[in-house]
Amino acid sequence: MAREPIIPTSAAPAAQFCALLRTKFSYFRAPGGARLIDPASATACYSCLRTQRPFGPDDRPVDAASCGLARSCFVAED
Amino acid sequence: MARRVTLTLGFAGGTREVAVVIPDAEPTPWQWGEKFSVVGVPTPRADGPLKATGRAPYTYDVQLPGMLHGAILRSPYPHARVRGVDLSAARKLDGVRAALDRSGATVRFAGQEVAAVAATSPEIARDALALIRVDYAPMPFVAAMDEAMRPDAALVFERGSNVAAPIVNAVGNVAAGLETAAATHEAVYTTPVQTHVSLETHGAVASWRGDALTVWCSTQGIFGVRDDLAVHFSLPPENVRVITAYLGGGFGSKFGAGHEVIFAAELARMAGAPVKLMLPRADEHLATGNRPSSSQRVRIGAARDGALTAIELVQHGSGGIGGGSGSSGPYLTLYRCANLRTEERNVYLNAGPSSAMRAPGWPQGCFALELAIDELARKLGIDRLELRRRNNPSPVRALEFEIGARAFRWNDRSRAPQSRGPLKRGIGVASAAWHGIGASGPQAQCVALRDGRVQVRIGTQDIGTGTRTIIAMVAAEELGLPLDRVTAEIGDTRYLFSLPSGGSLTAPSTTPAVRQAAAHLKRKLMRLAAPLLGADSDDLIIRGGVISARAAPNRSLTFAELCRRIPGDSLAADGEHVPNYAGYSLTQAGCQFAGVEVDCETGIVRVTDFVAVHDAGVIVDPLTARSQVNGGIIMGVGFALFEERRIDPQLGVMVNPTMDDYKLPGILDTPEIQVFFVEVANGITNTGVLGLGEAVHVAATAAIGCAVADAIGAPVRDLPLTPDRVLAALGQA
Repeated sequence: MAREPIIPTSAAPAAQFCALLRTKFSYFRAPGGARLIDPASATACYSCLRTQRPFGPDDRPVDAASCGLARSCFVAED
Repeated sequence: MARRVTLTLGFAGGTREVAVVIPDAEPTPWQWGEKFSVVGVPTPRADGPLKATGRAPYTYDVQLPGMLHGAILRSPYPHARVRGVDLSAARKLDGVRAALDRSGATVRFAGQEVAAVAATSPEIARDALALIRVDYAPMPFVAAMDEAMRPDAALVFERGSNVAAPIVNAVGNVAAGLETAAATHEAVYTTPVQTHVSLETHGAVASWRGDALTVWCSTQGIFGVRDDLAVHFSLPPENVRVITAYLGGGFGSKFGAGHEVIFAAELARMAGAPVKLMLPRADEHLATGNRPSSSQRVRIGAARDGALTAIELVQHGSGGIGGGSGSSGPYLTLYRCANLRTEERNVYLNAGPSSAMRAPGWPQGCFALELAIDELARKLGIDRLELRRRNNPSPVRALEFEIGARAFRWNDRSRAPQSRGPLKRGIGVASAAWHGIGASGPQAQCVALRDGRVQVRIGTQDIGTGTRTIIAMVAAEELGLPLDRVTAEIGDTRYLFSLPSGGSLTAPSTTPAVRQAAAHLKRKLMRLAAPLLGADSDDLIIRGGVISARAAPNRSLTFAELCRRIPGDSLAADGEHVPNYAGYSLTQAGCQFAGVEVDCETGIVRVTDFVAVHDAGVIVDPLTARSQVNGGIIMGVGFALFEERRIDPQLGVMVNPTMDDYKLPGILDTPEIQVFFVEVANGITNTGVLGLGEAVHVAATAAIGCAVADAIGAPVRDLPLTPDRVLAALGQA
């Protein structure tokens, strides 16, 4: 069982998160350079840099589970 | 090149040898029994006099020539379509220089930003807001969690449900664990939405020069704000400079460029003049974040000897239109239990959004779990502290329980007869844990100046924890200098990169970079000194600001004399936080004991005293560390007794967004606090410093809740512990 991560030590390698997805740990990076976004976190509060709100330009909530390639407003990271 | 070293790590309860591989440029981590000259000495804050005399320049104090003042119009409706925004009358008002529409199609909480203006005075800006015409079409809304969970509830988001998918953690078999238990307990515990109430509100001052943007910002992360602004305005990051000289609190709510920062920059660009936009107090409560609520159904069981056989949490929580309301951290961490399951669901409401807040999820979870542990202990007939001891997985916390129980006189006070009359006394204890172990990324620069001073420059920020002070202390320790020769320069993205201040990461992340930079500078200085002392640089030592040769201590020169030999105007060296080592332990333990007095006639609770015992690795400055413990406990008093965001169920608006109506603890509500540190040489970094800000807040509310139940003989399972709830619980006792 995974303990509730407080400081995720690695980002999910396969996931592509929207470049505009923000949460506290998105401002931190793993030693490999990936943003520390943890989809398994139950305490991460997400927002969208474009709207500056917890929902995206498509009027849907933003979070690590859904802010991926499937959304119309997705922006790839450089 | 790297080198392998064996470190002696641990604490007073035991040490062990740990082998680690250390990059060649890295100082050997501080170990158990390390002798310090500066570190560990109680030291007043370097910036204390500036703060105490009002001369510390906060963002709010920034004044620029020709500066305009921004203000934001917010929705009065909790849910509405915005059919149109008319800014024309506002724009025509004399003194208004810029206005912008940010309504979007739908507003989802009362307080959501709709438009903003910039004007030559704050008064004109406010008048201009009154002239903005917004055509709203109100929509059904949900303002309470039970209402939002009904099948026919109005939807916060048109697509989907108000209840998010669960996040589940499970190990073992909870049903079997409960089946075999000698005693079980089940109850629902609730915690309300708490707002951050930073004394300095969110805000920024933005100034453009061509396509270069300078922003003074009340933020916990200057580089995060820089990067967000660079993305938003399609600028290279080097064109954006962010400055946070001083910060009046953040508690997790000030990461990145929020709407108020972006509005300030947009208005400044539109107006062609600097714009200051600091939020008024009400906006701070409405729209800048909160600690989500929780409703936690707890099932717990234990064998006759007290060994926990099962713990289950089924939780719903809401951060308004935001997520992140989980509270399972303490359930998964604090006690040994083979059968454990947590299920957490976020519920959306038409209310202001959540954001990270000091130990996200932990104070809520700790309150419910610890009260449940107490209720179980009573069924088992086992002393509450003893039950915790029997299930405690941490040897450090075992020592902390011992230290705390002695200082608090737990045994005597447990056996004391119940007080007569209406005033009842009670005691409680709760466990804490955190992982303030630091993260990679920070870089620092140490600069020796020709006048014999040293500056440490690093792009971190001080959120009130004493960062300037401890950074200077670490550099002084490594350089062998008196502290008064070293100053810390922080709070500017022109310095080398550092991380946001959150997750209790600042001290553990910055101090290793500072120490490495100081070690590199020392090496350069010793090379400069070697020919002057006729010795090899490796044979030189520096203590108390005097450099001498080990073999010939009579040959020496002062640091100031050496600095005058610097060929340029200064000598600089950089350092970085290399990836953490395995170290002694990745977790830090704590525990807190609380005493309360409850007036059974009025229901008023007074917290009388606290004993807090914590591990923070190497304590750099005991004074600032104690200050953090005090702050964490006082915040816990507020969460326990007073604080709650109240939303009118009929109107969907917050009814207490002021410092008058949103109750905070004052000095008379502050208990006597005794603080003890169990120093642990953890060797995770070259300093082994851990973060304290969150660890010291986790258990405070829980300890108070347990003490109140002890005092009145019945648990109050809903926060805050207001007089009406205390009296109701007494009625059922």
